[in-house]
Amino acid sequence: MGSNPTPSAISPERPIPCDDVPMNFTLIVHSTPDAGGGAHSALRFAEAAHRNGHHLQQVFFYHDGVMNALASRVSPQDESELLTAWQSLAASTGVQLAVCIAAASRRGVLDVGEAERLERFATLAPPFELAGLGQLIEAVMDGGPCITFVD
Amino acid sequence: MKNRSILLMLRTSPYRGVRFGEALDALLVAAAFEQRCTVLLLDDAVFALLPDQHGDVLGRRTAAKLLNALPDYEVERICVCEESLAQRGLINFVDTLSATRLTPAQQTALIAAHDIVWND
Repeated sequence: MGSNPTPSAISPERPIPCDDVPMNFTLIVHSTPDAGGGAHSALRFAEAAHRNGHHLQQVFFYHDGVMNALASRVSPQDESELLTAWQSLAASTGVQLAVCIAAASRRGVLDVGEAERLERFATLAPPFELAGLGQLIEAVMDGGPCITFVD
Repeated sequence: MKNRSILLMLRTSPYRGVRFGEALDALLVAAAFEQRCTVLLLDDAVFALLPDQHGDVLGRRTAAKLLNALPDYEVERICVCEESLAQRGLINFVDTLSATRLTPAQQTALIAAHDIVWND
C-alpha cells in the first residue's frame, strides 16, 4: 500500500486499522527527507500511531529512505529538521530505526564499524542502526500491518 | 513468527535508478525466510521482461536475469499487468519468462490474496 490508500483500495475483508484495537505497525520508508512527502508522512503516521496507543514494531529505511539517517544533512533554517524528529520519536517510543546496510553503504551512509572497515568516515546518526534485510522480514513476520511510504 | 504472503508491486523502469534490483533483493530475502512471495510488474517495470537485455553495458545487473533467477529462490509466481503491456505495444512480444498476464480486476484479487503488499 502507498502512504495514502484510497478507501476503494481497501477490501471489506481487510478493514483499515481501527483505533479501538492496538496494532503493531512496521513502517518502511523509501523516501528521502527532500523527495516527495513520504518520509514526513511516515514520521507523522508513527507519531499519531503512538499517540493513539498503538505499538511500533520497527521503522525500516530502504532505497533512498536511508538518507533519513545521514548525520551530515542540514536543513535550511526555515524548514523543520526531520532527523531531530526521528530521534525524538525513537526516544519517546523506543522504536528501532533500522537502516538497510546494503542500501546505506551504496549511498554513503556508514556507521563507525563500516566506516573503519571500508576506510571512509562515519555518517550514520544515532540512534539509527544498520541492519540486514532479514531484520525487516522478521519484523514483517512478527508484526501487524506493514505500511510502505514511498515518494 | 507467522508465515505471511508478500506481493511486490514493481512500477519503476528496470534501469531507472537502483530500485528495481533493490526491491527484488528484499523479496529474495523474504523468500529465503520461507515467506510466499509474488511479483507483479506494472507500468514501465514491464520492460524488464523484454529479451536481449545487456545491463553490463550500463555497468548494471540485467533486470531480466534477476527475474529469471526468482524461481531458484522459490518465488514461483511472476505476474504482469496486461494494460501496461498494451499501452507499450508489447502484447505480442515473446515473453521467455511466461509471466502471468492479469487484468486490473485480477490484480485486485491478487492484492487481496496477500497479507503484505510492498511497492518499489
